[in-house]
Amino acid sequence: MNKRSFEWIGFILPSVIIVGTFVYAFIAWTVAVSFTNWNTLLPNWSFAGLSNYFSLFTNNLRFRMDLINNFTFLPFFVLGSMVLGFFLASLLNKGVKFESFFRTVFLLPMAISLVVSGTIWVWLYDPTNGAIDVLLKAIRLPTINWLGSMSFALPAIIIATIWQYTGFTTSIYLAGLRGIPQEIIEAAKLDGAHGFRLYWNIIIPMVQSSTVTAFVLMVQLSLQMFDIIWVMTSGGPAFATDMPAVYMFIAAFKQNFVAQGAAIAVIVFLLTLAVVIPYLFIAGKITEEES
Amino acid sequence: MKLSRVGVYVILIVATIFFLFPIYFLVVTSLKSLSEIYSTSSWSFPTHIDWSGFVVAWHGLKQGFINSFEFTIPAVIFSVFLGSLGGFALTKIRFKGANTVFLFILFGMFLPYQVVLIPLVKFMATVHLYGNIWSLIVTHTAYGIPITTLIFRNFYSSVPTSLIEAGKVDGANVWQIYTKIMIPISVPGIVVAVIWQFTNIWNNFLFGLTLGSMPNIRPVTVMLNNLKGSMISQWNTLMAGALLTALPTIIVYLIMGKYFIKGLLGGAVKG
Repeated sequence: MNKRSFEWIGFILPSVIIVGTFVYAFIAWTVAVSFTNWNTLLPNWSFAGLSNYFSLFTNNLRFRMDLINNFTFLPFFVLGSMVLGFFLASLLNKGVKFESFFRTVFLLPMAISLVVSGTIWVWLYDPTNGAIDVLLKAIRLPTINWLGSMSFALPAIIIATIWQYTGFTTSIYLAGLRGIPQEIIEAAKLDGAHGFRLYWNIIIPMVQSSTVTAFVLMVQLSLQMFDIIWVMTSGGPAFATDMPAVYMFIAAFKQNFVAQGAAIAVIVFLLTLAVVIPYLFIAGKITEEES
Repeated sequence: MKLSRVGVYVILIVATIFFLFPIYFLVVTSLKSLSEIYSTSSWSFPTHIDWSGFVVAWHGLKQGFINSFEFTIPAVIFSVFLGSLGGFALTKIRFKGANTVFLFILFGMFLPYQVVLIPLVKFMATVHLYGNIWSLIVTHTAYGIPITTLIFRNFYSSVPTSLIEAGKVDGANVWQIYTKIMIPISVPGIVVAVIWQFTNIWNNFLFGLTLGSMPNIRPVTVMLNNLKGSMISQWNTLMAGALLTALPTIIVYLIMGKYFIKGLLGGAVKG
């Protein structure tokens, strides 16, 4: 041990203090507020127990709709972006020409703000002269007021979100596919594994870590879905596209139901933890094995 | 999956159309006059190029552009610098508990921002930064640290320790090793982190919406959303505004796409 062994403190301490404050202390603060009666403009730290949580789960129709919407959105978005991403990555991995062009195009939406893409999609879904209804009219199908409809607004948002994030899952899967040693594929082919069986028995198990990563990231994005909904529908019509993160913002900052907003935030946080903690645990194990 | 060569290209081209058609409508609509938008099909090319949408949109978004640059640039610099310091300490100054410290910081990457939003506003008010451009600089710096630390940790892991040892032999202290040896070879890592942070911070909406109550600090993304509320159905203006808002990150992406993907995967796959 020499004096150098403490010099790391100067390098890492600023980050630890900042993250400690802005992440951990702030989370603790929000959890604390969620147990108070601060559903007023002025701070009220009187203890309310679990009442903010109880009221959300028992007599809050909006929050119930939020959960239903969120858990309807989640499987379609997660599966949609992952299946499409895996499919496109598999095609790109076949040694196609213009591969970098295709990759650049698929990933382009990821470089664009959700506010921008949300605005574009509102125009595409416009019932008067939007691109999609114009197309439907041209092929003699009935037009749909996508974002104004109770049943079509959420699917419309799911499509826009899949458009935004599929390049991400494609990149994750492409990196995974590139990591499979070519000999394994060749050996499997010699053993007679082709087509679907090659994918099902060899390739899909080999990209398992890509699948886990993509799954965790997409689930986490689903649980926190805010920007694109705020821009496209603000949760409407009649809460048909409302999500917990949107309600949280409204409750805390527009209606001054600070404690209620905090309780919603804590629920979103706990749902996220349920997928992230196991993931970090696995990632941490890999890190230890490496060092 | 037995797909013919032609089949592969057909599907890739269909996918390309899917990913590009919104961009087509973005550009075409932004160049039309308002009357043309409602008199012709939205699929058609503009009969003549009309810049009025851009003029109106620029007028509405100009201040947002200035504001976004004003907080994005410092926040990128601070978060990349802190991430590089941390990544260096975590990989090259091996100390007890380095992995724990790393996980402690990394956890912030998965944070749902909703759970920090209320204390964030109260905090900024308490330290008298609410309504000040520094509230956004500090916020974006703080929540950028986890990803930049991860990027640099992955980057520095691949730097041979012998370089550090050579520095030690020459009598350099840790700070000198960091500035004289590590920083110069970090350029690719810095580029990845800068591009990733620039894109993320520029495109951010939630922090801007929460902290940007005053027009003098409000980010361009929030201003675009407000424009959408005040220019209902003026699609040429809205598309021009959307295009302008997206332009800085699209340009960076098209020029430096390779590094953008690295940042993306740096946070997703173990590098």
